[in-house]
Amino acid sequence: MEWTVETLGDKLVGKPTGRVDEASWELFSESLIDAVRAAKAAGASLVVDLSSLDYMVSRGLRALTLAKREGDPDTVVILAAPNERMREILHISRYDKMFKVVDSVAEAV
Amino acid sequence: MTDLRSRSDALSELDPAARRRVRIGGLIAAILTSLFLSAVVLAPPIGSLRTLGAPAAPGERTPPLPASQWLFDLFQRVSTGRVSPQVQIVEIDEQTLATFGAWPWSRFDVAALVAKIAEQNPAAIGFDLMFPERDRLNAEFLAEYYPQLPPSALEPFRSEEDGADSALGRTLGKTPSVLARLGTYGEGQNTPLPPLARFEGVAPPTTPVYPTVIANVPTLENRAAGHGLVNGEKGRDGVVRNIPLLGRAGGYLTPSLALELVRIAEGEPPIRLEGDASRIHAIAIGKHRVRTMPGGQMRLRFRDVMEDQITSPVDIAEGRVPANQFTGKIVLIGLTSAGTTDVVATPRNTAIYGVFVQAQAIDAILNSRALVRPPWAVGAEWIAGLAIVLAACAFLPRLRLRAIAALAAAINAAALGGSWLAFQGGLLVDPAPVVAPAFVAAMTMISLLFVEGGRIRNRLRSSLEAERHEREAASQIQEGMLIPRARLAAISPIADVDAVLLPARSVGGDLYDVFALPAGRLCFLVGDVTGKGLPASLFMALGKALSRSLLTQPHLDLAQAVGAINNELNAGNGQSMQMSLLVGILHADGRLEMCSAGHEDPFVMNPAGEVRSLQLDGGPPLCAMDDFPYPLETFRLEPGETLVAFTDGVTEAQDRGQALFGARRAAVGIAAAVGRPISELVDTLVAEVRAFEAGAEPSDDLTVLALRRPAP
Repeated sequence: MEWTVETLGDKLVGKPTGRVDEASWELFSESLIDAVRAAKAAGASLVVDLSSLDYMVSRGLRALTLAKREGDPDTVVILAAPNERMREILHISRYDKMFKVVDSVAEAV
Repeated sequence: MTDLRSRSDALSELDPAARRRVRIGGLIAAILTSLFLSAVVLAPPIGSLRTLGAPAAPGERTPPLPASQWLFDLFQRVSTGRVSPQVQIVEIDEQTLATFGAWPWSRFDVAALVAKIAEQNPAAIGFDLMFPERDRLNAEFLAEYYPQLPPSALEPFRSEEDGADSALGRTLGKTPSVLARLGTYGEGQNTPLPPLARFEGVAPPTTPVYPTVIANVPTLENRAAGHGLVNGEKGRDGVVRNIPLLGRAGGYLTPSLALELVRIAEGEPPIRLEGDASRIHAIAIGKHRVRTMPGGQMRLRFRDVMEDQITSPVDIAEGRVPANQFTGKIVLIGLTSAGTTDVVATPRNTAIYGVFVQAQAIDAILNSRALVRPPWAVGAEWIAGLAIVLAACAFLPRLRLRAIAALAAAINAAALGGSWLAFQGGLLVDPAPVVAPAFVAAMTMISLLFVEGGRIRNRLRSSLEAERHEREAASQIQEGMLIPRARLAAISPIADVDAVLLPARSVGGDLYDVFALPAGRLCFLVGDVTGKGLPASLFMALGKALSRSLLTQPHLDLAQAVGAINNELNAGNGQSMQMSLLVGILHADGRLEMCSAGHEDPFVMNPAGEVRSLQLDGGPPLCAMDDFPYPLETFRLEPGETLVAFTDGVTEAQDRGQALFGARRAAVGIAAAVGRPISELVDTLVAEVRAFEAGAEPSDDLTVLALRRPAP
């Protein structure tokens, strides 16, 4: 997995690429928390661009939970552009109830 | 190799105390080795100085052997080099005796041989043999053996002047001749003629002292140009390595035969002893100078005597010797026939005639070829040795065995190579103090490292063993928390129930539970803790206990109970664990209340084998959000319908190509078991998942729970 961050408008956009699996979830978790803190410091929201993410294990989901807690209550974490599988994972775990999930990064921004 | 590496890795895990033990062990070994070496070098001699033909003197000291004597001996054997042709040997060998008769010859014959040699004007002629008794052709001898002879017949033999000894004496008087003497302890005389050699400098007190001396008959002694001692000096092992150049024999400081021959050849200059009253370090004679040990002994670098410098008296007598064979050279006359007692051992030859050793001694003086133990050698050797020992103690416990072996080989090669080069340059540099303490220290430390490594391995093994025991115990406890399959069916009359849980490791994070509630209701749940192993299973145990406790509270409905479980779990959740949970309550009339906390939706199969997903709105996993209002959702399970709940061990099972088993395959697997008992349904689904994984290590716990309302 690779992780990049950019600023779009008033949002910070973090973009994981590849898979969040047993080998990469820790990196994903750390990157995500760092991004949330950066967003919080900038008073911005964090958009996680899932468009290039294949798949995520449950520890990745847990990382999303931790990120949300880190951001609460001011910094909103928005999940954008999940692929079909990610959408299913978010649905099965009901993370789509915890997070705002949008179809594209543009929509989030 | 792997084994070695893993051992080294074990060594690298040594704690500081173990490292210290290893280092101290190495240092002690080095110190003991050093003490042993010093004892070898400095110990009082066990043997005594053995002189050729003389008994050992009481209290004599044998020169100590350097610790690496065997190495220097090896160098002596493998080095090349010849005695220069400046030294010639006239060899009275078997062939000579066969031609001229047995030794001792008549002195007339000896005189003839010397005269023949002298015709070529040699620089000096030396005898490595002695004439201590009068020639047999004298009047007394003849009268004793031939008593029938009239006294008048013996008259011509009475004149000393006409005798054989006089003949040889006259010949010696005309030639640069040197006679041999042998210093003794009581045998022979104590008033020899003073030797002619003059010395400058002070003879050191360690010069060998012989109270008496065996000399030649006075007729010869008077006339020879010089006199030299032929005493040798053997090491404790009986091997000749040093040649004494001086000796105090019968009260007179006397040069050795070799030194005296060089003196005569040089035109009889004084012999200069370089040093002080306690020790000398060199002896100079004319233009030659040779380094010596403090007592005047020369350490010989042994060389070979070649055929071109050995001549037979037979060839001399018969005129077959080149005209300048001896001209300007030093000629040694010696016995090499069988029965000669003058045979010695040297590092280069196990048995060699003394005359050949004398030739080498002359050659060494002429060419300044003695071996020297330089004064700086001892200090340099021990300092280098100490440095290597300290380096070994500092670095060895950190190095891999292969690096240690390479370094040790390099250090040994350097020390041996350096010693060899020094030897070729005439210097004795002992590699033993350089490498031996370090070598013994290194071997000791390696042994200790293995001992310590073994200790660590044992400790790791027993802690692994203990851990395994704990895991097994945990696994058994976890298993005990699950209701056994056989008892599941008997829990409620309103539905058949079966479930299987297969942990990915010995303890897992999946759970299921089934229990009866008042009013004939049946409660079932399936859950999955994020993560695996011991932490997940502990969290699972907590989750399961809380679930049963809160779900059986009569005042809470299902959704409220799940909300309470969420909050309770979250309250003490230091590890940020999460748990998905699917709970259902089946009423006797088929009403099915369900609540999902981030768990996969279950499937329902009707008796016709049609499988549908029971889609729940649900909420996030437990512990993801505080106070989440989990919705209570109500369905119906018709008679004969089967509900199948499972964890992601089913849907996210991976084959070797990392493809996922998925919900669709799960649905197909369930449909395939239509009409079968639910235990078969559960087993079929599990078998299909395992077949899909095709032997790949299961990545997650796998749980399947099925319940079926009996058909009407």
